[in-house]
Amino acid sequence: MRAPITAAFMIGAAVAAGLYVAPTQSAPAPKPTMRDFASLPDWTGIWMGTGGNVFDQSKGGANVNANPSARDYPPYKPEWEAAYSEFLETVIKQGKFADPLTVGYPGGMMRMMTPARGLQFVLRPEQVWIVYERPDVRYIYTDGRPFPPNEELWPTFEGYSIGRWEADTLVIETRSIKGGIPIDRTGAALSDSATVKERIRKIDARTLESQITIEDPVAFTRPWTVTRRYTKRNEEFPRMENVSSLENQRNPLVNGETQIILADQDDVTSPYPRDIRRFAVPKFPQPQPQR
Amino acid sequence: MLKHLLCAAVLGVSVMPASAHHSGAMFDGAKEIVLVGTIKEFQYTNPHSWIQILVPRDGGGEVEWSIETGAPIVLLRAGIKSNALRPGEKVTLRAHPLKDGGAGGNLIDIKKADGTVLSTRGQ
Repeated sequence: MRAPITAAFMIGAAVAAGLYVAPTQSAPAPKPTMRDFASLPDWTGIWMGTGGNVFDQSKGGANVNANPSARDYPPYKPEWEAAYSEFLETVIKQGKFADPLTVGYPGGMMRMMTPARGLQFVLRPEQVWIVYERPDVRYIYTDGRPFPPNEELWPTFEGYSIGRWEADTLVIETRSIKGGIPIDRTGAALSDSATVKERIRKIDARTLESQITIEDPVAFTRPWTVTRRYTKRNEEFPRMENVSSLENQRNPLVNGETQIILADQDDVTSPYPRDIRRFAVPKFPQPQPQR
Repeated sequence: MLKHLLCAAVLGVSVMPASAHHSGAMFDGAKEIVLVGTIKEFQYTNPHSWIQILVPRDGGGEVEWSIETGAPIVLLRAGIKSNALRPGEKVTLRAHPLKDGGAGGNLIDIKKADGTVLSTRGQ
């Protein structure tokens, strides 16, 4: 820290002495992929994913809540398929899936893009923000930058996304997604080496469609392409909401099973899940309202 | 626990809401219970809202049930606002019960004294 502070101090001293002249800079030329605000398409509104919580809806497995035998069909290599099949048998079919969303983890890729909650697409010339109500945000850089070198990337829930516009189609490539995170409610997961390519466009006034291709040389035998759609809500109550899992969490996970805190069992007003409550800060003793 | 219910019905086929964010394994999606009671508290909270309802017990006293339903934004989009249920209000509520017999369940719908039915189904 010392060097920048010293440098800043020296520049400040030089300016004070009338010795420092800032180098003249011409405005950088717009990058070829940047568009101005007026030319961006209208994706305003709140959008909800259509279809169930199995990522690939084309094989008939719509929703694992309604059908615990539902499964996904990633083009897994044999060892990945074996691990997934075992997970389906021992966890999903037994109703023991500890969904990371349940305990407050972010949606991340790919869960953000198959949402049962709202999405907003904030289009700016230099970035697109995809905001999810679980909550989570994807930052998609459309300013013409290349991917950073590998030593400047690390696996995250959302990955690192570069985008560009082809007419009114947003073309996104995402790398550096944290492996092992469930991509849907069947527990299917990717390796750390996956690259996701999306082509998102508005196909009518109330529908966005995304063609999603996942390449995963570690887990897959071939690329996997899935189409998902998002429907614009009627905006009677036009607002987004951060649906925090930690606010009034009455469904703690205990030994991998979802529990329910009943009226006579615990202090249900604690903002902390029961599992960590004994480590949590004591609640401020609030005066009780007069009855 | 059945003695705590004024009415119980078993349906052949029923499912949990598609938007439930946690496992629904603790609820019996094939069963329905009907609770007739008095609202104690409406917890309009994330990640789920909860209806605390007092149901008379056979032989005197009452049991407080905890009925889970959607997040506030889900309820709002279904037109159910934070003042939709008030303490002291008499309601008839349908839910999928807990498998273990505890005094809890997952909301199907709730009928108010004026006949209004509140439900998030279809959201």
